[in-house]
Parts: sequence; C-alpha cells; structure tokens
Amino acid sequence: MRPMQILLVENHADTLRWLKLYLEELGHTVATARTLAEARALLPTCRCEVLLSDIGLPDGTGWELLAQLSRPVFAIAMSGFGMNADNGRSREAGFRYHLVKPFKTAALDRILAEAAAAQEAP
Amino acid sequence: MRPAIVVKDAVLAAIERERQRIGNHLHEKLCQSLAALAIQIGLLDRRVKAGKSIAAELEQLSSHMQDLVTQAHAVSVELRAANLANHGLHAALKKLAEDCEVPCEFSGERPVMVREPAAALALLRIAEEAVRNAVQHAAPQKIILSLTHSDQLIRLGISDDGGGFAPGAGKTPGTRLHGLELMRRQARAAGAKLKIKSVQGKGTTILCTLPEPQ
Repeated sequence: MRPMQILLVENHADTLRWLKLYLEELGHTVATARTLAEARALLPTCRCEVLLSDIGLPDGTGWELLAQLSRPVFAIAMSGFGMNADNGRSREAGFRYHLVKPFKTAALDRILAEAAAAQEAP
Repeated sequence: MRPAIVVKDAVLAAIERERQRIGNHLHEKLCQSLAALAIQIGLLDRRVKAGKSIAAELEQLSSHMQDLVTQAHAVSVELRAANLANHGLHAALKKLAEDCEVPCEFSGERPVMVREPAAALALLRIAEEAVRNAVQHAAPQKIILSLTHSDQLIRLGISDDGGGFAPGAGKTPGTRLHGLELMRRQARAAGAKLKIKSVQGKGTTILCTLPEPQ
C-alpha cells in the first residue's frame, strides 16, 4: 500500500495512541488532533490525503470538520454508535465510510487500500 | 396529596435517568477503552505476521486489560454500593472523595455509625448525587464532604465553590435542580431533612440531617 498523509482526529487518548501507532506501522504519516479546534488549527498546513475522524468530539463533530475542508480528501468516519441515521448523515456529509467502534483493523486496512488506490488513479 | 400516577412517572423518570447515566459512563469509558484494545490487538497481529518481537507490547496489553478490569469493577462497586456494605458509610464517603474528578476533601472526625442500612444508603446516594451535580453543572474548583455526629443527629454536608444556581431555574431532567429534587426524595424516604443554600456565582451548600433512631 502506498504511504499516505493521514489526519487522525480522536478525543479518546488510548484510541488515538493505538490508531496512530497502527497507521504508522502501515507506513503512513499521521498528524493527530483531539478536538475540532485542534483539527481546524492543523488544516492550513496539513497536506492530508485521508481524514480519519471520530464523529463525537468534545467541541463539535467530525461532520463539521469535513465541511470545513477546502480540498477533497478520502474521509472515513468513526463513532461508538452506528444507527442507520448516523451512517446516512456521514455519507451526506461526504464521508466514504463510517466505522463503528470497536472495529476490526482488517476493515480499516481494506478502506485504506481503497484510499491509496484512489490517490493513484489518474 | 399528589395523584399516584404523577409520583409513579417521577420515579420511572428517575430510574431512566440513572440508567442513561450508567449507559453513558459505560459508553464513554469502558466501550472506548475496549475499542482501543481492539486496535492494539490488530497492531500486535500485524507485528507477529511481520516476524517482529512483541514482548514489550504484550506487557502493555496486559496493563491495558488490568485498567479495563479496574474500570468495570469501579462501575460494579458504585452500582452495588459495595464500599458501603463492606466498610460503612465513612469509608464509602472517603472513597467518593478520592475518586472525584475535581479536588474533593472528606472530613469526618471519627467514623459515624448509621444503624439503619437503608438510611446509610440514602445518605451515600445523596452525597453521590450532590457531587455529580456539582461536577456536571457548577464547574467547582473544590468540593468538601463532611459527616459528623452530635446531639443525636447525623449530619452530612456537601459544599462546592462552583457557579451556584438561581432557585427558580426549572426542574427539567438532567439539570441541576432535577438532581436536587432527587436528593430531597432520598432524604424524605430516610426520614432526614435536607437544607440547600446556593448563591449564584458563589457556590452551594447542602446539609442533610438524620435523627438517630430511638
């Protein structure tokens, strides 16, 4: 899989730590944020190709964050709930996938492989 | 006298509120930690398949599991009031103060015996609700719990230096005043009196007085 620049937004400290390590193990470069405000502050200088964001943040939602991205990214939502309405809302907001925690890393692998292929497509 | 149907609805609402609180706690703490554990295991799996040593990571995994057990145990202890049953009200209040997420002091000159188990449980639940209320709604810097005994009266005090509240702010479930109503009910059921003094911007003091049984 081609290494990618990933912006990871997650307020739960353990999940953030292990997801960052996992993504780096796959060879990706990972910038992290724990709140909507922190993520917004990274946006001007962030060259992220993939956004992996929790929906429920202490000061807003992952949906709001994606709406503020001015360039296209491959966006993946995460949450601790997965009702159809939430999945639907993520899709409407522009997220390609909505992962419900706890999710298997194999599912994340497949999605990241698709993201990498999308980056390479002409 | 209030109609029975109104009382029943209020009790059901209180039960439902408590269930939601427990559910939120499980979601925010345990479920999130379990989700992190799933990712940690995925990482270990990848490293094993790559032929890398995972000795250090396995030790971290073991420590992570122990933290989860501790969290689950804490929820169980709170639900069962296990500290109260095993060690008495004095010890349970001391533990409540230790576990509080804002600085919380417990002062009890010497252990106070509350003979009726139901009354001791009511006092503990009043203290828990008062602390929870203060933390959620008042942003205090400090909370003080006290338990004293004199003149055949047991006095439970909870004071905070948070934002206080105005008396007529409403009784919507989930608000601070709804929590106060629950405390009043607990006190009445135990045969205790509850006095609440609050000044907006200057904190709140709650005093629950329980006469000793004759």
